[in-house]
Amino acid sequence: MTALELAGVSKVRGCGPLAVSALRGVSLRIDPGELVLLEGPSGSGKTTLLSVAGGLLRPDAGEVRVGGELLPPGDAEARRTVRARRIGFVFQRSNLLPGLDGLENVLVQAALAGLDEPLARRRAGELLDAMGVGHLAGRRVGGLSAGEEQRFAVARALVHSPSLVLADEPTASLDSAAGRAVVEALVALGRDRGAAILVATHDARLAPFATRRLAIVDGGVGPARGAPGEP
Amino acid sequence: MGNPLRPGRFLRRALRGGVGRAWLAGSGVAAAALLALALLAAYRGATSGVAAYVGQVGFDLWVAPRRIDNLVRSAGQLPAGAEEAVRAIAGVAEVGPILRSFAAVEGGPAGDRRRLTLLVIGFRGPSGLGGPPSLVAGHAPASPDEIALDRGAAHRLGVGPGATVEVAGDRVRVVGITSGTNLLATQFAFVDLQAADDALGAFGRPSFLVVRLAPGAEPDPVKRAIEAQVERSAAFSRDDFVRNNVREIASGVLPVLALVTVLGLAVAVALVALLARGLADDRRRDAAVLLALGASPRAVGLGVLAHVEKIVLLGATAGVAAALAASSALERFAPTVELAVRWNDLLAAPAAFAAAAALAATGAVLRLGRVDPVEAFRP
Ligand SMILES: Nc1ncnc2c1ncn2[C@@H]1O[C@H](COP(=O)(O)OP(=O)(O)O)[C@@H](O)[C@H]1O
Ligand SMILES: [Mg+2]
Repeated sequence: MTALELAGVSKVRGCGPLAVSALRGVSLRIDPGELVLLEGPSGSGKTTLLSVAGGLLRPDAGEVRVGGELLPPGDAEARRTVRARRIGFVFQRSNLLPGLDGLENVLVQAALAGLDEPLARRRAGELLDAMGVGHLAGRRVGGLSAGEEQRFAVARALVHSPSLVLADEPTASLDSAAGRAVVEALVALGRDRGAAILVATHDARLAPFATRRLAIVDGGVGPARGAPGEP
Repeated sequence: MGNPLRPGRFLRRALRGGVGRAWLAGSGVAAAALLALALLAAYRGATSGVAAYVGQVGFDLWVAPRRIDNLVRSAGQLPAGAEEAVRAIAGVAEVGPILRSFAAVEGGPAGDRRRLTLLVIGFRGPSGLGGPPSLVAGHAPASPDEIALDRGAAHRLGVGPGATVEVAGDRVRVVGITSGTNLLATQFAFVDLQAADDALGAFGRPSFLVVRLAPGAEPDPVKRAIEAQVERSAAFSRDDFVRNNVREIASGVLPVLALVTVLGLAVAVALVALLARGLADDRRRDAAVLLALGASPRAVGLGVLAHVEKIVLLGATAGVAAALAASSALERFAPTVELAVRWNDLLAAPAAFAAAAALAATGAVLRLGRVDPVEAFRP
């Protein structure tokens, strides 16, 4: 089953004279286990695409399916439920909740997905150990480094075994070593769990991890230049 | 599913704000609750004071000059001979004449003389009807040169049993200290009827008569007989007379009480609104993240509300504790005001503050629920 499918998706951002056609009839499919890079300069519409794919924005035209399930444009509540259960998010900033410790930040997503507590705790523990931050699980997140925070964020995005992980420039706030570690973990742990991963980035160093590279140009999505099958 | 992890468990803590602001808002609520409870307790003390005196067991009927229906705010006298006329009525077991006036009482150590205006009750002491409801020290006055004082008044005058005070210029000895006799604005003092009569020039005309009925006697026929026998008089059952006196106290105290309570509540509401607004600003991004991860707007709103209510309830509980502590400290060290703290008031105060806080926080709660989850993507 396709993990993510966009069919003829268009989206205008802003309104009036400031309106921008960010996506123009975008169609794409991503299968479970794939790691797809979405490349493009700043302002090209990467975040908009991820937001539409995640059901945070509703498309002006076209359809979005996650794990085969249609995100109904008119039903924010239904999109929210799909998001909570089937999608994991990694943002440019870790966006950990400062009121909670590291482990609780991971458990929040498990709770929103409706997981049983023992299962949630077991999975969170495994992920955090695999990410090498298990020993920091009880710490308030304020005291963590940017790289450590982002690893907790990756664990949060995977704890509910989503069909789709959407990562928006996950390495942009990290130095190259930390960025590399985060992406390696995301790839290894995400693939293990059969998730499709869509990473918006303009970090060329992520190319080796990708199964496929897409570029967004003038609101349309196609194979990235220099990617296999492109001149 | 066996044991699902509940998001609510994390949302309140994820959306709480800084400790400093919580303390400030909580303290404000505590102060407002203390203020409201202290005023309420003082009001209850005053009404229970007048009820304790007027409603004593054995004070079955009160006879007053016509058009006078209470003892607190009234002036008038019954005709001479009223006492004998009432005593002759069938069903009357005992009659106690009372002469009521306000008088300046001066006392205290030399060099620190103080003066209070007290509600002085002249009655046929020491055991006639009309005496104090309870004594905490000494005994009721038995001769014209003796007085029993409310303990709040005694404390403020700085006198105790054995001290000498001046009542309207006459020197009398303090022989008893009474309780349940503090009306907040004034206090009771009890003197011998004859001394009061001489001082006021009443010539045997009492202000009121207190009547004890014979066992088995019906109050209504006796009332009617009294009103027929004693010219220009009105008789009241104990309950009616208590109600009238409570009404008089309430009419003086309640408007102020209500005003100050409402102002206190308003200040607390403003503080809570400020707290909630601050949360809405500070936790905006966290709310966006939670909404992006799939939390419902309702759950996010409830998370903030739960945090606000927790602070308010802690504050109100601290206010309740402070009110209890204040009333027992006042009771022990400076019994100038009779604070009657009631359990239902103690429970009602946190409930009122919690309800007000829910209203105050509504704007912020709605605002956080409506944050655009796309904001979570902002770098
Ligand atoms: N909330 C918004 N209102 C108006 N225009 C927006 C808004 N968000 C994004 N845009 C515009 O949409 C276009 C795509 O933005 P975005 O998806 O954020 O690009 P990227 O993530 O590739 O930098 C840009 O031109 C941006 O200015
Ligand atoms: Mg972007």
